Amino acid sequence: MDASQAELLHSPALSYAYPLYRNMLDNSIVFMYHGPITPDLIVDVLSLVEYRLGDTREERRISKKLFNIMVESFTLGDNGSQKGYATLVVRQLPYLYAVSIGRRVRSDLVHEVKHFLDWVNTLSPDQLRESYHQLLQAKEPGREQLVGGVPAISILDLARKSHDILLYSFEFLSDEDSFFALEARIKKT
Amino acid sequence: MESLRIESTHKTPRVILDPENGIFEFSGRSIPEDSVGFYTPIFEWLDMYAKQPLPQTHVRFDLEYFNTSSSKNILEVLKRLEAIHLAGHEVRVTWFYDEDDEDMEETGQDYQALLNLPIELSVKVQS
Repeated sequence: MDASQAELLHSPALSYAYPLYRNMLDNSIVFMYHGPITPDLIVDVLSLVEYRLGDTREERRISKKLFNIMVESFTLGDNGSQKGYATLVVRQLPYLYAVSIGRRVRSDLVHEVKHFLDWVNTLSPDQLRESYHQLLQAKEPGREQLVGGVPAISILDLARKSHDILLYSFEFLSDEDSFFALEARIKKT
Repeated sequence: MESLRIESTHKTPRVILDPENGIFEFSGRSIPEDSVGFYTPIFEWLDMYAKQPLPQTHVRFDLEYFNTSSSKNILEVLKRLEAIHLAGHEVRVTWFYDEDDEDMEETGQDYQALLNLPIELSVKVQS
């Protein structure tokens, strides 16, 4: 092996690989994607996840719920100008599955999204259902009930389906944009 | 009036609206990129049917999964059926769900609560 071949074996261009592997391992990430989230992608991801899960009654129940949450995450990831351009992560932990969606939101609207999420996390199942019904019946179709550019009905839908609080984080990127991540969890039992 | 038939794709449902027999069916997945664009011809067809509906109409929803954008449009479909029902024509809706899919069952319950329309929830028979 000459010097140039040895350099290739330890190429700095691959320095991202191990940290990425380590990050996925440490966070129990079984699927990770960044790019345009389209219905086609969702269908492909569902097939992959279905393959990983077993076929017991409980596993079928969880996989259905996981599918339903991923389908709605697609709607949440649609941020209009950069249509459907987002990050989708599925984590498999011993007692739960977690689906997170990451996308940009306007920095000046972060407080609006945060305020809405904090409010949603205080609602009882009955209150969630009532709020969801109100938005479902709203006259104007489409993206009329946006909270900081994020569809409010999708957040309520994820909260109802996960039966748990929604975890979230914001990362300031610039005066214009911040990165918003939202995780919905599904308990295995 | 002619039937409306839309074949399913991996992201849009199969739709059959048969005015001769009064049997309507929505089955499969509903995650279209343009939900309003997909459902608008269905609304237009139902508006025409509402002018001269059969005495009895039976509607089957057998959906695998769908997003909230489709939920709104399905509600609009059901509201049109509700109007036919309230005008004195019998409309019977059967909402099928997989026994493992509590979210689909809950969606059927949502529509029951929101509409003055007979909606029967029915567990799918596994083939």
